[in-house]
Amino acid sequence: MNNTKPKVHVFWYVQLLLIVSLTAACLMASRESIQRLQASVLGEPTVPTVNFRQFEAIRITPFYDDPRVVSDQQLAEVLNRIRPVFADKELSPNHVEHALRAWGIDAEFQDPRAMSGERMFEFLTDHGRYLASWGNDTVPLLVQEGDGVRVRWGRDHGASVHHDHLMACLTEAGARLDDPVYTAQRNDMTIQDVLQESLRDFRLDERETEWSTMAFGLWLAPSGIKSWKTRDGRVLTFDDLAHRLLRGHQRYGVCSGTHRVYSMMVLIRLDDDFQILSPPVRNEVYAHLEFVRDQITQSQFDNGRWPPNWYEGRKAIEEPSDEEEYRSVIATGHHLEWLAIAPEDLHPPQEMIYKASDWIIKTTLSQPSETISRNFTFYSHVGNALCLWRKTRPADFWKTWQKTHPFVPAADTAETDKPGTEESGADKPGTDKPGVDKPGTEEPGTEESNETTTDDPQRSAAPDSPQD
Amino acid sequence: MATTLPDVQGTSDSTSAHVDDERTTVDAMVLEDKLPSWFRTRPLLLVLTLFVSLVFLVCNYLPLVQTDLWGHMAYGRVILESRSLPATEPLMPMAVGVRFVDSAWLSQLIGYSAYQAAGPAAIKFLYAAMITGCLVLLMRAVYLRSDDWGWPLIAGSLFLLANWQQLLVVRPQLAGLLCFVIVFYCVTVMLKSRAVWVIVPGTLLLWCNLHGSFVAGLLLLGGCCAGRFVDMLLRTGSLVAACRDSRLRKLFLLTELAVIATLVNPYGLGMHAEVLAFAGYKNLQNLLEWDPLTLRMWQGRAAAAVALLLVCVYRNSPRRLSATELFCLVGFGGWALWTSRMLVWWAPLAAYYTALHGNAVWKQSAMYRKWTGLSRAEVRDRRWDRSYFHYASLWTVASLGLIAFAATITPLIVQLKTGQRLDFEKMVSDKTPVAAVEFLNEMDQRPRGPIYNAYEWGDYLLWAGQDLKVFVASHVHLIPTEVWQHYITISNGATNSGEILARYGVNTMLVDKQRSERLVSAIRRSSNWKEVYSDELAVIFVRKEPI
Repeated sequence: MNNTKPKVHVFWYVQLLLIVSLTAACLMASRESIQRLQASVLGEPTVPTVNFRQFEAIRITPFYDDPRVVSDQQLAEVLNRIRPVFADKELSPNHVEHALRAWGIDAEFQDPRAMSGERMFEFLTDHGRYLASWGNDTVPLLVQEGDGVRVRWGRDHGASVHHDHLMACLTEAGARLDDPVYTAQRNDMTIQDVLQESLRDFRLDERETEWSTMAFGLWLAPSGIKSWKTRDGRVLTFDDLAHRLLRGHQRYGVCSGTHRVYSMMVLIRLDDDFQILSPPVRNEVYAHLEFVRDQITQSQFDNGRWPPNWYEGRKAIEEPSDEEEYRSVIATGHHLEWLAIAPEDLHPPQEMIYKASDWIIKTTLSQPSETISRNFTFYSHVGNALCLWRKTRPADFWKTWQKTHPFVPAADTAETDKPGTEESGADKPGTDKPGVDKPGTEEPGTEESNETTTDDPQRSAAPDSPQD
Repeated sequence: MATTLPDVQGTSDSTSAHVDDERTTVDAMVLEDKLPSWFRTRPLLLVLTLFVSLVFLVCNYLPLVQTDLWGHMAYGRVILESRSLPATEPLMPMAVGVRFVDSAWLSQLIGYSAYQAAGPAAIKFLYAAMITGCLVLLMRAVYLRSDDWGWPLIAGSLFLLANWQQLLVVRPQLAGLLCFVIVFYCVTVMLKSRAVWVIVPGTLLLWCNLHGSFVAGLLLLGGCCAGRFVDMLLRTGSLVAACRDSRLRKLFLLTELAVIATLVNPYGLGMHAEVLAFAGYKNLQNLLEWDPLTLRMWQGRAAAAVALLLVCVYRNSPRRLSATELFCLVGFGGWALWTSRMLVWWAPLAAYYTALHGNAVWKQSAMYRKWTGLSRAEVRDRRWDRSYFHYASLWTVASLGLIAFAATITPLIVQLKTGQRLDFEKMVSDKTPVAAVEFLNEMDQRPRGPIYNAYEWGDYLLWAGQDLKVFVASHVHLIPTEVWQHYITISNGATNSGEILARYGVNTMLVDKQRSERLVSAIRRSSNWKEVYSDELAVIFVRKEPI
């Protein structure tokens, strides 16, 4: 006989079973599943976080101290050209980032016009300092996003130009995770909040990943972290970052493809100490760097420069492209940078390195100050590269140098008024002020974006991303 | 009492036996049906069996469509070989690290196991069995409510008509559809049975592991529950009285048990989170089947025809329109309008209720009374008079014979009998790039980097491509947004396609000639690519200077 009337106690048993089942399911569910359910039902976004054990980033120490690459005198002269003397008004975050990266937070200058490392750091991490330069009507550089701090980047006026470039520069400059960051809304944020947000919003397929790779590697590796989760739940490892750097034609990498080479070398060095790459991927990256070595061996000009199309190997010499000189400065300076932290088997013949350094020093010292100013970001790499070849840091070298060569204002002005010397701090009509963003013009010293088109798919796909 | 063969009017056979008026003497020449009464059926069964067998055979001989199926088979292979469920996307290089909640893992495992056992013929057999299963249940439900042969046929036909486009693609969703029909059958005709306490939760338990559409089952149960509550409330005017309704309480408990059953899966609540989040994936907006249902679609027109018929029968039906019907039809209908793929759930409901009310309209009509010679009162009591119908074992035997015959000529049974697997290319759709993928596998220099491929072929590449790096496949929700947008840009042959391809390091392209003419023309004009393969369906380009 069919029973159409379930007994009352069955009803309550089922209720009990439901409660017990749901409770058990909630207890057994991963935090991520709960967050996703909340996101679906309540609209609350998922917020993965990474637990850091170390609050200082690792520093990649160079291998060599070779005075033949650059002498003390030459180094001092080059560093003199790239002192961070910027106008206070509408100070370019991109210039400050490059300067801070090269000089470090502990940089000090006897020249009062030059921004110390501390001041540069404060400009990038204190909304108040930023406002003082850009005015109250400007959009903040640092934006609070829930528990994180997002850096405004892109081609917007007053923004950091490249994704995670600010984070990477702070990292290499010696910032700590517990250093304070002051946004417009809150005063209790730290560098860690900026890094966490970078980790969350990173997309493996975005146009530029070089700086993200560097920043993540230098912070995560010392804490033993080899993978992390992005906001959309994607689990990324350093293998993925390596593959991403290897992907695609080299000409589409930032700075003529040289930045990704540097980032790959950083990954290899980190892997030496922390094993962040799987063996097959390490071999792939290493093989690629060997290939790069072969390419630059074939593409160096007689005068020592590497051209922007260095990846074409011998063809770059046989069919030279008519590029502006600063592009060769980019290529040569960046190659010298990664070679300084690379083992010898990844070097082209030593003579080529000497020729390259001779050319870059001569070129740097012969440039008018306004050229240096306009292309400050590229020349900052030159200074950093040469210091690496002397196994020192610009801040350390300059401190020592200043003791025996103190700053003399009059001499410095005379020096900087000469063609090829740094511009004085006094206003000169019609002169480009270093570090000043001019509205409506392409910012000097920014990376050329190869073959960028107006119908860039990344722009159309992600309308809230200012740069792609 | 001996039973005679049905009387054929106006004819007599001198050799046939005749039965005396008192039916006490049986001629030895007359066949006696000595099989038990439960074995005897009406001629109706033979008609319905013929219909279902035809559908079964047609499904067995339809070619396997190139989308979806092969991707699922590839995932099934991964699961079987690794004996675990992958936590992140295991097959598409562009989606490495993307969280992967495999809501169809059980279907994939079953499908791959069947394929391993007997090849594509086994897949076809399973496919046909699922569709036929839906038909049988639906038609039986209508038969039990209508006691007529015509309306089950009409219901089955409407179901196929509205759903045909969805049914053509072999994918785990069909398992979900079968589960949906089972649950619907239980709540409509089996609710008084004790077996529903096992069948409904059991079906949901299986369903949540077979396909992520188990939410439709929960919605159906919830809709029936809510509908019953409203009906009782309107009938009794009392909340307490409505809540005391035994049928309502049974539906409510079944719904709760179904919810509990859906927690039994490898991901627990993670499965529910994935299902809830699924519709929000932006990439789906570019897929036609996730577009709203419109009359421009074939299935939109079919659904409109069924809806129109539904409206007509409701207009004239003497049956009361219950709140359950309203909630289910409007709820699932609205869902189908929002996303055309959801039509698959509305179709069986629409077919069932159309037949139900159509039967009521028909039985009430003067034409029916004239045809049967019955009065209104007799019509009303008709269903209880089994002796009116000609029940005979002959029909049962004939039906079984028909089923056996249909089964023996399916590709699977033919294959088992001959011991030889049937030709693969003949079993799959002619839109499957079998030859092109073979060419890629046999190239002297293995393609370096990802292969740009047409999205519709991604699944087949995952299945048949030997370690080929697929650009995109049908699991679009797993593909990162940038990658998907770039795929769209490239497939449209945009001017910056070359740069995008270079950024991804694509050195090989497998392009659909028929669907991507513009892209094919653009690549042919480019000096960076050379054509290495071409057939009616596909063309393969290789970069002259590989990245």
